[in-house]
Amino acid sequence: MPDKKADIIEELQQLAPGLEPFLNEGERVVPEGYFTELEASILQKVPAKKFRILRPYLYLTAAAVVLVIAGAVFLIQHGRQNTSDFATQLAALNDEELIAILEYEVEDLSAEELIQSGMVDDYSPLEGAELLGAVYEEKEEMPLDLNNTGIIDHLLLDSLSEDEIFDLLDDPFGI
Amino acid sequence: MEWTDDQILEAFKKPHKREQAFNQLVSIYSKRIYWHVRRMVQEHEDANDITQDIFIKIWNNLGEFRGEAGLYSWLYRITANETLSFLRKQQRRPSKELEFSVEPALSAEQALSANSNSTTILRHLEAAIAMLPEKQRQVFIMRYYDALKYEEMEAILGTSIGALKANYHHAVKKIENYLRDL
Repeated sequence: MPDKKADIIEELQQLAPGLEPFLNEGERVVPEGYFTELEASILQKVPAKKFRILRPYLYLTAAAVVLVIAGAVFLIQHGRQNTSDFATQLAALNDEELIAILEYEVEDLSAEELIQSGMVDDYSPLEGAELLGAVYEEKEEMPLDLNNTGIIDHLLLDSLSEDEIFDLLDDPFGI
Repeated sequence: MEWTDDQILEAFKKPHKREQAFNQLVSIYSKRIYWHVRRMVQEHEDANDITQDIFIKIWNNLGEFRGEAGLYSWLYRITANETLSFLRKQQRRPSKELEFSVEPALSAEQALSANSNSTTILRHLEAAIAMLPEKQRQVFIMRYYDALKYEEMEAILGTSIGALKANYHHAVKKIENYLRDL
């Protein structure tokens, strides 16, 4: 209990002379040892201990969740970005470049590998004579349903002269 | 060694020192808060419950304390609000004045006599304080018993110093008259 300050006592004496002795609370008591118990009781009630025990697990769980989410987001974004970049780059290429790339890419692949890779199949449209040659060089014969018209339809005509087209029609496998 | 308010606040921000800081806070302020509440509500059991609730509130909110006012003022504000909240709920219950009215009355001479039984005088003092309006009771206890400056009370209660002095004046006069009229 704070000590009475002189100015407070003086103020009271001016307001009500003689009252001060009757404001004494000497008899106001609390149970013995009460304040020690009060402190203990308060400290028991606050969730400090529980919080301290849980905190490391809480942090670990939070960190794991954040990592998983961050990883998932990264993978999704990265996948999208790659797809998007690839599509953008592909769209920017002209036909000649596409053919050149295809020629380059398929150079080291066998026809079987190309077919297995999904780049081409037995019946799919094929771009360019070189590609056709690469794909079918190991095959004994042309697919039955792939005729000359089908080949011409799927060639990139812009990149070939008329003579080259007819040469191809005459000899599609460059033999 | 007792910590300063600043040390308590600084330590409370650090998770590994939070509990220690709060222990210090409880150790320093629990008596003061209890006695303020006890004078306001009179009954020990009520004061005990309210004091514990106040400290739980302090624990829950101390992390958000930004230090605009001093820690002491902030604690007092919580204490004042919690106590008034209790008293307002209690008003719906039977008045404490009825309890005091059955006590044997003292004559004016007895009441203001130094030879009167101190326990009886305390009972009448409690009754005199209990009949004060909430605001006057609060101001009287803060000023006379808690020995707060008017500037501190202004910061805690948000009431002007002039109004606080007027409340104190009225409270003192009412207590004096109550005891004289016994």
